[in-house]
Amino acid sequence: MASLIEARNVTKKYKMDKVVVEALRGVSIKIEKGDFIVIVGPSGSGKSTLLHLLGALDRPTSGQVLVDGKDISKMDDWSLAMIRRKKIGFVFQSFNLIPTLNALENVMIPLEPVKMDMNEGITRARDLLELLDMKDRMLHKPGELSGGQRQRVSIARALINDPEIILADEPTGNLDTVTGRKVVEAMLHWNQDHDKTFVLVTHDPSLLDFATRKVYIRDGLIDIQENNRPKKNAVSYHK
Amino acid sequence: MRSRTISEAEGRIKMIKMAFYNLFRRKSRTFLSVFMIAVGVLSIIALVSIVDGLFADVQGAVGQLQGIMVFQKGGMGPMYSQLDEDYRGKLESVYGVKKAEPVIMSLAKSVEGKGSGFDYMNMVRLIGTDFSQETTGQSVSGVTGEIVAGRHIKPGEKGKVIIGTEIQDKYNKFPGNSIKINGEKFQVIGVYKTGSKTSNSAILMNIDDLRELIGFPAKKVAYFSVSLENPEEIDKVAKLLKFKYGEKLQIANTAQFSESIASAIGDIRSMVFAVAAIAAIVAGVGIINTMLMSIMERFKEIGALKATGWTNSNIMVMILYESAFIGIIGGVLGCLLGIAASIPLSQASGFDILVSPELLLESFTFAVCIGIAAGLYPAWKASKFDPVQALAME
Repeated sequence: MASLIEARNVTKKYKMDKVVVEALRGVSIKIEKGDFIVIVGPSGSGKSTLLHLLGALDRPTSGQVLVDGKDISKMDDWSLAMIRRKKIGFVFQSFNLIPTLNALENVMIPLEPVKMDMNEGITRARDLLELLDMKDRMLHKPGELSGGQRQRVSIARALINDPEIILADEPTGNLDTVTGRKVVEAMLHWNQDHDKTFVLVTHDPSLLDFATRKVYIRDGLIDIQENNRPKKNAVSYHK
Repeated sequence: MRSRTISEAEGRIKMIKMAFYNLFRRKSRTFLSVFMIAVGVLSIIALVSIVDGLFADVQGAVGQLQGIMVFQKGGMGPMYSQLDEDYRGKLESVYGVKKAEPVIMSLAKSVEGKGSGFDYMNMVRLIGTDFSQETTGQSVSGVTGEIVAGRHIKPGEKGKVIIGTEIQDKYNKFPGNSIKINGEKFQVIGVYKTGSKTSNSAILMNIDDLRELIGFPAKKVAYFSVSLENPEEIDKVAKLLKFKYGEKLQIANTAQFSESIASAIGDIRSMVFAVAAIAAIVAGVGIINTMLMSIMERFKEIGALKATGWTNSNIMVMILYESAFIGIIGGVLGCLLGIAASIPLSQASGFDILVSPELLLESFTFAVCIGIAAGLYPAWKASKFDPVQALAME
């Protein structure tokens, strides 16, 4: 069975002024359904770049990235957007919510281009926020929410289109330890109870305890990739 | 903590609502852009309404003319023309001509001791015509009108005048009063009214009186106002007159005259619109700047939208909605200001200006087009933002 996403010997080079930076130097990885992958590495190791390639936000300089068996490296912008819309959800370190919209509206942002029936969209967004313990804060704008609440809105937004895989770039980076833990537990809940695939990129090695697979990346190359039995009793998330 | 049931209608997100709310992120900047567009629209309405008002009045005046005007060829028009009065008999002998009324026309140097200088719009026209035959009420020297007070000048009557309703209002004169024209006293015996303000701003008198008053050459007239046996045959009779006297005389079919006036004023209107539109175009440049600043501030946010599956065209449409809103709001505000300004403008200029629904629609549409056009480049630029670079920004 084809992997959800597979990277085959991908490289990524950026030109910064006159200097060419090799962010990735030949990385291969497979993302399978139901995985909860945690990628750790120091700053500048290429972990975010890898996430961007896996999420069809960018194209590799060389190598292949296959999403559902289709190589995205030659696709145009529109095709990449369709992949992101239908198959991938993103969670960011700095949440990236629209400040003029309330939580419910922010969650529905990915639906706007889809032109889904509005009532169905509202119901779906509402249900997600309720599951993420945001029932009483739906009409609040990001400025009125705590960091943890904003991140939960961000997770709901990532889930609204029912993607197969959610990519999270430093999801706890702007949160305190306790809040960050709760956010990760929410993700674990979706992984274990709803069979959603997660790939997390983080500085925080403590999150490795939750991974089904641990990936260590350094200087644009994967150092170690190992399967892991996550600590299930560490999951204490309640909705 | 606030807690209430979410209805189906609440929480609706539409790109339009999002675009509208985005305008309020920087209220003063949005207000300035809207205001610039509004000023542009106001200047269009102010200037073009003056032309429209003038056009309506001139067209009304020309539209009142009947029959055919015959004046000196190669001259500067009927007012400055000189023809032998003998042409009267010759013109009246042409098939279809009922009457060839001799007319002299001039501008009064002073009325009631007050001169109008070079203020063309307030000058009083003096029209001298032949009252040797009884004049009935439907025509006042070739212009469709009627006597509304007093009576017409009788055949051979001298020293008498009939005044238009504008003169009556301006100088407060009524039948029985005397009026001083170019220093000479005349008696007002009647007041006439036509369908045009311009035509109502004249004084009619016996042609010999006017000839004497302004020193017009003896046995000469300025032009003939030709009325027809059958008004339907105006083209035919005009052609006949041209055939017979076209070498020496200018034969002007008033219907065609009206069309050429309309065409000329139409050109002037377009030119005035274009000049006034410059202000709106400058406002458009301002909107480009505003929108560029706005999208640069939202660089990261646009990256996040792309990450969620928004395509380049989705981004473009959202930005275009925002700039269109600026055009719409500015257009509405400009139209309201234009309507409000029309009253003092009319009072200051001294004549009726015309703010028509068509002008308001044209101006509003122009404002919206400016708004959308100004948003094109910023929208394109935003659509090309690299989501990776955008999201990497701190």
